[in-house]
Amino acid sequence: MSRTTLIGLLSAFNLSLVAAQGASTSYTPAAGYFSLTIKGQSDSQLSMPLAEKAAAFGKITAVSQETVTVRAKNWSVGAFRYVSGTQDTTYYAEFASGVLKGIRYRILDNSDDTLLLETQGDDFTAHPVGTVAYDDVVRIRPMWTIGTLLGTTETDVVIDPKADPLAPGDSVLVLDNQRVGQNKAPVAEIAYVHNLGWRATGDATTDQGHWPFETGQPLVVRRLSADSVSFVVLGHVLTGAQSMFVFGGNSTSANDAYVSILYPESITLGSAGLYTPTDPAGSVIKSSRSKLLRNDELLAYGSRAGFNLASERSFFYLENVGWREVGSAKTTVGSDFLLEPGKAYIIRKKTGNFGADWLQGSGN
Amino acid sequence: MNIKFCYCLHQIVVLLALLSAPCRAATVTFSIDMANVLNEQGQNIATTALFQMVGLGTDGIFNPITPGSWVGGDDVVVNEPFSNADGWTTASAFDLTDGVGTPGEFTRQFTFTLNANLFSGEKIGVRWFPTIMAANFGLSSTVAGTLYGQFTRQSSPLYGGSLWVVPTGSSLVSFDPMITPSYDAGIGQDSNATGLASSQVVPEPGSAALIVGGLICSGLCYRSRSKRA
Repeated sequence: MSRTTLIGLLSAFNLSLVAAQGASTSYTPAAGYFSLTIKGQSDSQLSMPLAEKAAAFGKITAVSQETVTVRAKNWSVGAFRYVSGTQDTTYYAEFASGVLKGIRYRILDNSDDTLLLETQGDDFTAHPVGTVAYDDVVRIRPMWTIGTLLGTTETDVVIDPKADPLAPGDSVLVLDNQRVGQNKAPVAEIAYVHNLGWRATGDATTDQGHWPFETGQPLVVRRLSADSVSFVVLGHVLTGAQSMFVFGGNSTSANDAYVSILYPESITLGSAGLYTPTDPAGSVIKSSRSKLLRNDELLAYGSRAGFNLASERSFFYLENVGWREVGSAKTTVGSDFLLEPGKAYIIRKKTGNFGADWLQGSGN
Repeated sequence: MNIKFCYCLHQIVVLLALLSAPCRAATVTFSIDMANVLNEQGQNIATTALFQMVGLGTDGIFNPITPGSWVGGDDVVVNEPFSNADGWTTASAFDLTDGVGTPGEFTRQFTFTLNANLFSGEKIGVRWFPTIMAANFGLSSTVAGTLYGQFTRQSSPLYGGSLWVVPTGSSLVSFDPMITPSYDAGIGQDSNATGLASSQVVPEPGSAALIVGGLICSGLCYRSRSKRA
């Protein structure tokens, strides 16, 4: 199985160890490895459909607008707060049960039992999805970083190190999911520089090996050498419904949101949860009234090699009809086209179509 | 140094690096949507009729076609391979068979590698020839009177799409469509006549003057010869 396919599971999948008395059940998290390929002389749009192993968890006893307090914890104060050079891991909190299950927020700081989260406007006391309940579980995971994905030392780094910061070479292009716009330039280009480590273009001093990636956040790896290179990433399989926030347009501009599949398993376009006929207003992709005047679209990259590649296929949901592809008469794309793990996609939200949570795997 | 300046400088450095590093050409994708596209009689154009993508040159407008060629003035035919499902492969020409396959309805998405013939910033348009089949493109040529229609949008988009200009590398854009009320009265803001193949190939004024002049000369010669006789 190749780059976009889960090639194995290291530990038992959802292995349940039932106690002899049957009184309690514990779970070994599903873990595995995923193989990705970086094409030679090309940009490769990649994503990681696995998560880092959870570092901690807790049962919620109280919430405020931006904080979550858990029961009987004695964390070190600031243990999950990113501090450059001191505490280089960025953590996020993932709701593992309750109505917010699958929703994630970056951790800004913590006390011994309380997490301060970057909610981007959400309010836990009046959350749009529902009410956080007593004993809902929250899990704390480290985010992927350039280093954990592509290597941290000269001997284990996957791409070719650059001889010096100014030399051309392999690099990682960080896609822009913050600013609103179409066809956005990357926010940063980061390369592994010989004897220095991960460095951003224009800044030869700051270590970028800890540059964090949200779960499912795609990246582009640019490789100048002709030969392709494959690598394997170990991680944990997310189970149950997972949510990915898809940034929308604003009142004056459309937006390209870079997205991916959160599970190591392909899913058809029609069953990916991007459009819900019973809830068109709440759908991630807003339907199109006409195939000539399209609303939101899903854009997919092709298989060709090269640099600065444009996406090549566009899909939209034709109102009261179903999924269609731009320029195609096919009526079966909803069941034919597969969203594949490890790949990157773009959801183009039109002007005035604001962000929405993409709930994946709700059937799991 | 203030923070804004530093940020701008950083962005410029990143941009320059991104532009300079790759030596392999970038790709662009654009979608073109037009309906209803009509023949000279106001009927939906056949799916087999010839379509061409035209680079509009530095003047950015369509120039009249002269007999024997497909373009006029500084216009150029975009000479790229177009995918065709109906078994022929000719650059410079395509039809509607690979789109939704409906007469009069042009909805296609193209991905090209940028090169000297198709470059960022180039203004482009689409022409259609209802009396010429795309499959016969290599065997055909225009003559005085050959009918055609043409469309581009170089200002004031009606539907929020992009102007018909080749975007920068790695971009996907939807060109502002042409939608006539005859296709969808609810959204169509282009007049029905926009889709009509109402133009025809005419000799250039210079050529026309030469022809007319030649005819007059012939007439005068004939007359004087007749008188002498």
